[in-house]
Amino acid sequence: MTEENEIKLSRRDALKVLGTVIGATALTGLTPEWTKPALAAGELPSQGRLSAAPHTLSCDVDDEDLESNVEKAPITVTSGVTITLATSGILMQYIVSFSSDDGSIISPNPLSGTATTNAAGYAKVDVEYKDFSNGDGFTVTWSFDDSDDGTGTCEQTFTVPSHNNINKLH
Amino acid sequence: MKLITIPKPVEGFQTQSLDGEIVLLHPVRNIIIHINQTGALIWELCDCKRTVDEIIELLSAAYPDARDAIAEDVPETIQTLVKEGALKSK
Repeated sequence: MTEENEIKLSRRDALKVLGTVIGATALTGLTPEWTKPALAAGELPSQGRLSAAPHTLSCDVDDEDLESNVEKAPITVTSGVTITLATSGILMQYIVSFSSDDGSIISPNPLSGTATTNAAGYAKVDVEYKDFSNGDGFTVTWSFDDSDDGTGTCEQTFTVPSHNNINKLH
Repeated sequence: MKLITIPKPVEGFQTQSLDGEIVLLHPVRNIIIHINQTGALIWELCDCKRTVDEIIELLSAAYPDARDAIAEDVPETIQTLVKEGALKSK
């Protein structure tokens, strides 16, 4: 790029960009002169730590999965959990258990493990199964992998109803 | 430590702004970081899209009298945030 073609950002344009990033209100409070950035980092004291169950959880299911048909086996249904306050990177533990002796679950294998929440506080596991008869099914139980992140559990029970559609009971 | 090109906030931090300053809190890792106003500007501009050079250019245009200081302060601040675990390379 030649010097003639070089486009210099004007102060006005720069402030416009900053305004969109930090908000117009915050922009008016900007320090008029540059001061050296300062950071102070540390660990929270144990009594101030947000370890007293900072999150709660609730189970949900993707409705599209409910429309799956057992005749298309193997079938995958998604069991999900949402935590509040929404935080990414929280390890959630799932345990898949059978509510009948029939059928087999292809994945997850093993039937218990962890999934990590995304920025919306959502974690999920896909359960793929086959050979279930009508009325058979399984339950997915969710809990926090680390009790410091939160407490409580929630369950989703999936059954194969008589009309061969997967249904969510809870 | 090699300076990253496009800084990206590490997931899991909750942010609280007050008078232009920012407190970053990571409840899982038990970390708290307080950043003053100019440091907060740098943090806000680390959006996974801008390069360090672009951040320097933008802030230099906003504070033309402090070009030299900004050229030093921005990489230094980003380096510190990387060291504290709040930023990483995209």
